Amino acid sequence: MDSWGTILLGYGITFGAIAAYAYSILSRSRAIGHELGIGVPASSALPHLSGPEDPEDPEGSPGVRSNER
Amino acid sequence: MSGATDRGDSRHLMTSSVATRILGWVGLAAMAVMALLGLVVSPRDRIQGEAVRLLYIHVPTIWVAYGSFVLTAVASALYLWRGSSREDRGRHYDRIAGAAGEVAVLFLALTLVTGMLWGRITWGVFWQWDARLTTTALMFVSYLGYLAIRNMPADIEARSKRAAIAALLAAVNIPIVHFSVEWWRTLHQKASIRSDRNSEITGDMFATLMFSLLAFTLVAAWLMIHRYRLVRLEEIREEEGLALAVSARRAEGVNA
Repeated sequence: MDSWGTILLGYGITFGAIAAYAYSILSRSRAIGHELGIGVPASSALPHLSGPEDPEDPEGSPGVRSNER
Repeated sequence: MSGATDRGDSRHLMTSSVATRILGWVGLAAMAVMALLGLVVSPRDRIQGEAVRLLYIHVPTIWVAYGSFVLTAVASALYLWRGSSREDRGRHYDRIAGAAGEVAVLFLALTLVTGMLWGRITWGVFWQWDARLTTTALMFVSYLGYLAIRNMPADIEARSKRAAIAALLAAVNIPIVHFSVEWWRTLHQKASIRSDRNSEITGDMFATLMFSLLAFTLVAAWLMIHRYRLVRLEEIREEEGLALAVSARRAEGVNA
């Protein structure tokens, strides 16, 4: 295998592994969220990372909010 | 009720938020630019030749892994030290430790893989049992053990406590790995960027490496935030399952 083939393999493995891990996190969270019928908006998980998302709740109340029950 | 569900858009639920969506897109764009810089713009190295392009992913992955392992250790120490006095019994610290630990293991695995590929081009072999490579492999195995402890079926507080202790024990290896190239004679090259002497990497190569460090840090931060929130969802599901089991048991008692 020439050096360019090895280099591209390295980039492919790195980008592919990161993308696969990101996909697994998002799909698992979506599955659990749907299973429970709840969501964890940024305001409840890491409040300093996002502003309020809910127009009815401009303060971004802490805690997990029930959505569908 | 959340506005997200009102809109019927699941992308607004679960672990996503405005800030993480921005962070995610910026991280993705940075990775694309990084690939362009690393594969096209950066010149070939006078000694290493084209193999230097692998360093633009190898060095940032170990940078992220080190940082995440340190975060795991700090959060674990805080869990043991301050956890019991907090209202949430230290769950916040435990989630940070778990999320950072998992992301760190992923990036350390990538460090090992990209290092092996670099070694194949430069040394002619994928692996040598020299000090840096051996201690890094040991670190990888020790943090796999940490993740195994986190996934063992046990009471959540007992599991978190065991995991925190394991994280602190595993962290002892971090400085050993980092300074192994200084303490022992190794095949692995010494650090290219140091504060106590001029860097051995300059110009376009230095700029590409710095940008790669930034891109990988952004992506790792995005992954960690989402993993933290997923841990929280998993805990909620566990609690919900327990509550259902208890109520079913109570209903059995009433019916009997």
